[in-house]
Amino acid sequence: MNKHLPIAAAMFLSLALSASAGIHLALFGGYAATPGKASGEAPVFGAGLGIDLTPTLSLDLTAGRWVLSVRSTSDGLSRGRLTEIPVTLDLRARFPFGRDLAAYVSGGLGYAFHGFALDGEVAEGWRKPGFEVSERVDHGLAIQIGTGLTVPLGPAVDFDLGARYTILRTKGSWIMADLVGGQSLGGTIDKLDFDALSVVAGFRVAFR
Amino acid sequence: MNSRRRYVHFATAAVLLAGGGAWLISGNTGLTEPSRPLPGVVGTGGAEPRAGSFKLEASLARLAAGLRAEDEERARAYGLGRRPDGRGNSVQVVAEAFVEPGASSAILNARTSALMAKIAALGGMVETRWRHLVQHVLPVESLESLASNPLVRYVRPPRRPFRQAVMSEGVARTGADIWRNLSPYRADGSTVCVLDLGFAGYKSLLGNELPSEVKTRSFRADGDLEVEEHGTACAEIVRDMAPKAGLLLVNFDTDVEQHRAVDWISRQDVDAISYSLGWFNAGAGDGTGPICADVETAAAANIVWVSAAGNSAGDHWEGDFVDPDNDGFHNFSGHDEILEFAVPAYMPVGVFLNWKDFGSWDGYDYGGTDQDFDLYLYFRVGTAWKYIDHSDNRRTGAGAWPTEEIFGWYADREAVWGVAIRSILQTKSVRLELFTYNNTSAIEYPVLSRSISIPADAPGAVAVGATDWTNDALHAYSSRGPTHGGLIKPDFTAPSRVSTATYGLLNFAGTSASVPHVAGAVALLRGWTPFGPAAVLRILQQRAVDLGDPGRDNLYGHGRLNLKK
Repeated sequence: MNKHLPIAAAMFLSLALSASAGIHLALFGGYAATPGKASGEAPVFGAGLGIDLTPTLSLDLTAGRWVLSVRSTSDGLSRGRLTEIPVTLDLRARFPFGRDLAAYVSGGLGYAFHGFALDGEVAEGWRKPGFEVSERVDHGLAIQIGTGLTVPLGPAVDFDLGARYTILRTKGSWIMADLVGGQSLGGTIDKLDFDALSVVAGFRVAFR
Repeated sequence: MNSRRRYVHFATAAVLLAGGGAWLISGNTGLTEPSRPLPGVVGTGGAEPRAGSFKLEASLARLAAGLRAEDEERARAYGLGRRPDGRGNSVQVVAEAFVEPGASSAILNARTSALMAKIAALGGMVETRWRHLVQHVLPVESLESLASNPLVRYVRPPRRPFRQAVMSEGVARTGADIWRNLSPYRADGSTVCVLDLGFAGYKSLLGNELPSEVKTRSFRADGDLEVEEHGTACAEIVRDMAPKAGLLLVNFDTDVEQHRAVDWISRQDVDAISYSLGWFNAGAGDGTGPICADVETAAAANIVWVSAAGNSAGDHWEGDFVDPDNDGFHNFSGHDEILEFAVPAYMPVGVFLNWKDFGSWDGYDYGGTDQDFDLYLYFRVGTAWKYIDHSDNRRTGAGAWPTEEIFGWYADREAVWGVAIRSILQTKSVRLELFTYNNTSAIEYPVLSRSISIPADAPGAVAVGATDWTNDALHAYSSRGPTHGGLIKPDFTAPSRVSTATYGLLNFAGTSASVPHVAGAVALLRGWTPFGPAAVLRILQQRAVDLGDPGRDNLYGHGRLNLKK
């Protein structure tokens, strides 16, 4: 799936540039919380590029990033830092109400880049008796649904307040290597669940 | 199968061998009892001794004078604290009644009773009394009054014992200490079974030298788990090596009980068996026999069996039967037909003969021998040998084990004993092997090699020899390979002559002490890493500190146990 991502992005960009409809950029920040084994809260930052397909329907390419502390689990990851970068293509439907307000719902698919760094103490602790421990998390599918409100701040700028639930399910692997004798043992870590609920606020700037 | 097979545990030799060290320590008569601190002297920087407080212990004097608060305030500046020893405005103290040496008990009682009345008058409450010592709780403001009373010789805080935690010196030597802060990685801990003769005193060590909880089971007919303390000392070392490992303490007394015990252990969640025992005449010494079969039973259950190589290097002789004078007795050397060895007073003598004609082992029994030898025991009086006993089992036929043994004689003093071997029926050349037990030093004609104990000769057993924890020197008694099956043994050496609460400072020696170090190391690797039994042993082999000849050898095996990089 990795190799298809640049192609999809390029297609989206050309579609956006060639579209007669408007293009918009979004920047957002907020907090993500994960209820699973990588539990915790972390700041979220992200950006998006979208095209307005109709006055109430848009297609947004969105990327977010957050870093979580992982507590050690016997069947999951060890203690460390997990970096999440989901990139999703979301279809957003707006429902204007009142004078200028609009509610929206969105949903989309994408790809999540997961990066995991083992806690330094854990790694160093095992190095002392001569073992190297490493763990990695596979990149994988991201599904995102969201809802929120947009409030116009100017002719081309909207304030966006929303909540997103990002489904991030993947698997990983571990290796423990004996640095003295050279033998190693590894295995897969199944059913890693990094689903995150994020609350974000940001700005959308339209270019018409 | 009807021969009496003898096991030995190596604590006896350990105590004997370490005894010299213990005497050196306890016999230091140059040490004197510490002088009593001068009453009222409060140390550098403290107040001068004050009138009225010379019979009051220093810290109590400062407490009474209100200086303790200043002490604590000053100490707080350094981040120090002090555990409170008072009870509100009162403090627990001991008042020593003034009684002249040699005073009668009537005087002692009268003085002490008067002292107790004085304490009560000062608002104190007597807790208990022993001879001239009165333990009580007294208001702080009454301390000086009490101390100034002529009935009082001294007022001091009660003395208390401190729990003497004992850590095997082998822990640091092997690098097990660097595992302390590690959490299990894709593993869920481990359990070591200490399979031994007894665990006397183990209850008093729970939560201190042993985990707070241990599982126990006795397979002795009488169910007595605490029949002796050897297993307790071994369990202490396992605990020192792998503090978070679970412990299962199992004891037995006979071969039948051991078989039952191993069957049961193999059904438990056990990762390693620590076995600081060995047997004579319980197999051919080539890894076969019923005791070695127990090792295989455990191995089939993924249990690593760590076994003492034995303390028999100097207690072992073997050779071909030689009889140049045709009198039927083996000549150990020239005309010498008696092999000498010394045994301490009241220690039972053991001599064990086997000849390498067991026949094939079918997993149940040996085929049996068609040769026969007898064993003779002598006692030396002056320069003469006195016959004491002999063992002359008829040893030919199917299932007949090629073994003879004499055990149980003792003398009321350290004495020299002798053993002779007589040929009864010999139609082919067979190798003779002789072990002695409880001798204080090497026998007259020791053969160091092939002295591995049973079941350390089993291919599946991890045989452990003994090296001194201070310098890795191989202990002279540590049994050596190869086995009679040709295997290189021991597999490792590990620290010996170490400290335990059970046996005391540096007083647990022998391969008995070495075994639980390796069992603890196995527990660390099995319980803290995801590696299986075979991989764990490879890891230990590759980390072992190579000693002696380069590479694996029959003295040190792969080398001294090492858990460091």
